[in-house]
Amino acid sequence: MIAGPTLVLGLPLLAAVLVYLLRRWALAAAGLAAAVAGGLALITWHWPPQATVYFLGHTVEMGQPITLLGQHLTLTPAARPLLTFTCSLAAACFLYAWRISQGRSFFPLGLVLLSLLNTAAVTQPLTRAPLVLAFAAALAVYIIQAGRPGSTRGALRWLIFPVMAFPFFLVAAWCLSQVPLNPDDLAPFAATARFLAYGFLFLLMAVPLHGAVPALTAEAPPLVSAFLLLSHNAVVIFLLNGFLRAYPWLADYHDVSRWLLWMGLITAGWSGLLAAGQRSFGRLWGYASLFDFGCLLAALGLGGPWGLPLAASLFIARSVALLLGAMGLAALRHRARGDSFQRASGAARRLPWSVAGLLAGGVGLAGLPLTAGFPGHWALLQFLGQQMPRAAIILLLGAAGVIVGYLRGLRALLGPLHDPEVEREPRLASGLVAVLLLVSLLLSLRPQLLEDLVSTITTALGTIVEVQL
Amino acid sequence: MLTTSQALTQFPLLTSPWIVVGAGLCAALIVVLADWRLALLAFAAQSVLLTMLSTRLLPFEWAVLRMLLGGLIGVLWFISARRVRWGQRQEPGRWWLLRRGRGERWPLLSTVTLLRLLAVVLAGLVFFRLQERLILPVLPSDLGLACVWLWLMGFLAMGLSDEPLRAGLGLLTITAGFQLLYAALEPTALAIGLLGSLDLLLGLAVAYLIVARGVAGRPGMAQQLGMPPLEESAAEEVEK
Repeated sequence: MIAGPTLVLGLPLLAAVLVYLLRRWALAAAGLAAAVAGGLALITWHWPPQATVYFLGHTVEMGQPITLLGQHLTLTPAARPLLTFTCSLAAACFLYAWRISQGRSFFPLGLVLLSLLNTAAVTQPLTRAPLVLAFAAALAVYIIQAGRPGSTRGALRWLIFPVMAFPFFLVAAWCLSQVPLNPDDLAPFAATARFLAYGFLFLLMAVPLHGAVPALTAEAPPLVSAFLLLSHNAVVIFLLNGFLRAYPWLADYHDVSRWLLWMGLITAGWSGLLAAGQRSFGRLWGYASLFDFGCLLAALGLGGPWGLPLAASLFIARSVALLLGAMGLAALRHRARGDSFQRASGAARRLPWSVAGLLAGGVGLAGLPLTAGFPGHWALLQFLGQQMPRAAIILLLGAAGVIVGYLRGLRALLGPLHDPEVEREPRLASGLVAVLLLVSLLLSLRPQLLEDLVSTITTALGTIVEVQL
Repeated sequence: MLTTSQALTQFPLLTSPWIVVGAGLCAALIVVLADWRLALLAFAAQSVLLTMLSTRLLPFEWAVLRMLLGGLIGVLWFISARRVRWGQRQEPGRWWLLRRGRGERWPLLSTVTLLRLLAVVLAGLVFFRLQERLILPVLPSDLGLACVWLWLMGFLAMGLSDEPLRAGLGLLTITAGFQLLYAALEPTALAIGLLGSLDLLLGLAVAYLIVARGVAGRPGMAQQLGMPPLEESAAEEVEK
């Protein structure tokens, strides 16, 4: 009998060993890595946690918990959408990295990271999960740097924040363990709430602790950036939601909704402002993604029956936009040998699909019409406009900053060709970008297509039960 | 019969406040010293002193693990930095060139060192002003203050430099402070093993970054170390 967590965590690790041996053959490595990640996405989506299924001659008990290094790992219904998301994201990144290399170590280490992220999603109690994220950050350094000599700022900053965050969670766990010893004493509750707040400040990487994001997008291979940003965001939001549901008394100590709302607004406003002045697509993309993350936090902060569904739909649109932007940026860097506006001058003539993807992904993060981000951003603006008109203005100004940044980029892309030797983009890469462009357009015109998915996610997240102390 | 750790507690040296002072001084030296070799030496000394402090909270064998890890990471970083000739000038400074007003200036005491010293002094003033509020109730007061001081110095080291060696030293100083606190909260082999293995992973990651940073602008050395030159590297599409 195989327990569900063993399959979800063990399979990528086993595949990583094989992929490491095959890393010099991009097709084999990408194919195997994408197949394993895609297969896991299907497994976690189709097999519910209570299911018992036969897999390669073995019985798989999906809901069977295991204990690994003292940590209890359980595949809960709440973690299911997260596991499916991280696995399918990894599969898409691996597939694209076959044609536009993201570094040889991306395939094996990407699988190890996938296993660690899955571990963070199934770890019980939740307070242990940030320690796993710190391990993941220590491994992510290699795929961020990807053998590139020179600046190490992106890798270093990505490493620092999760490592700073996990101690707060471990101390919070200890404070929680003190509660049953003296139930009348309220001090451990207050201390837990305080430590968790500090921990999440580091983990969320919102303004003013946002330095890792633009550094990452400026230096790391774009698909690696997209994979790390999206998976990290997904796990952190899952943990945040999990803590708030498992320990509802946290709301007595902090007005979490208000904090999230203002943190989101400040992040969106500040990053929009900075985006307008960027001179390279990597950093511009980073600030655009920060703007979108700010909107996501603001949506979470709205609370009520609409907050979580809106945040879920924004997150799905964010994933499409970030992947699209990453694919466009990867092709641009590969062919134009750089992503500064000067280097990319005239690239639109040689790389039309990639440039379209880069721009659509970027302005999609700002919520421009005809992009996947539009319905979510529009709904958020409407909600905020009714309740807090000033907040809506901050978001609009932030979005305008991102759009100005991309318009400046577009001017350069349509300018005279900087390097006449820029080659045309690979067909598979153009095909993938075209498919995602179509998806983005479809989601902007028919946002109701996401309705079932959003409802599945919110229902699953709602299954987290309160922990009795 | 006394166990090793019980026997060790009989030594007054281990409970001496000078060990706390020494560990704090080493942490401050990590921030201030411009020479990376001396900073690494201070880090190794800090590991030894923290091991001695940890024997008050942990069995001796577990506390020694910290010393072994600190030593291992120190050696790892030293080898990495040495391999890429970290901090070495392209042209060695020659006094006769300095005399004639050519070449580099003689680095008697760099302004960066002075700035760092000033930052440490300011941090120290804030620390002493607030020390009554900084007591951690689960730890003996001297250990609690040592923890907070280590965090403060770790933050300073990271904040004052973007270089992997110095930021790595800062990061491990912070985790060292936390491990001292956590040894009092959860003195189990599993917790110590997990945190130790994270330290080791961090050490390896920073060693990799030291090499990546060190070979910048030296294509020959990059090739020698298996780091492909700019145009061939898979991820070198990133333009600096």
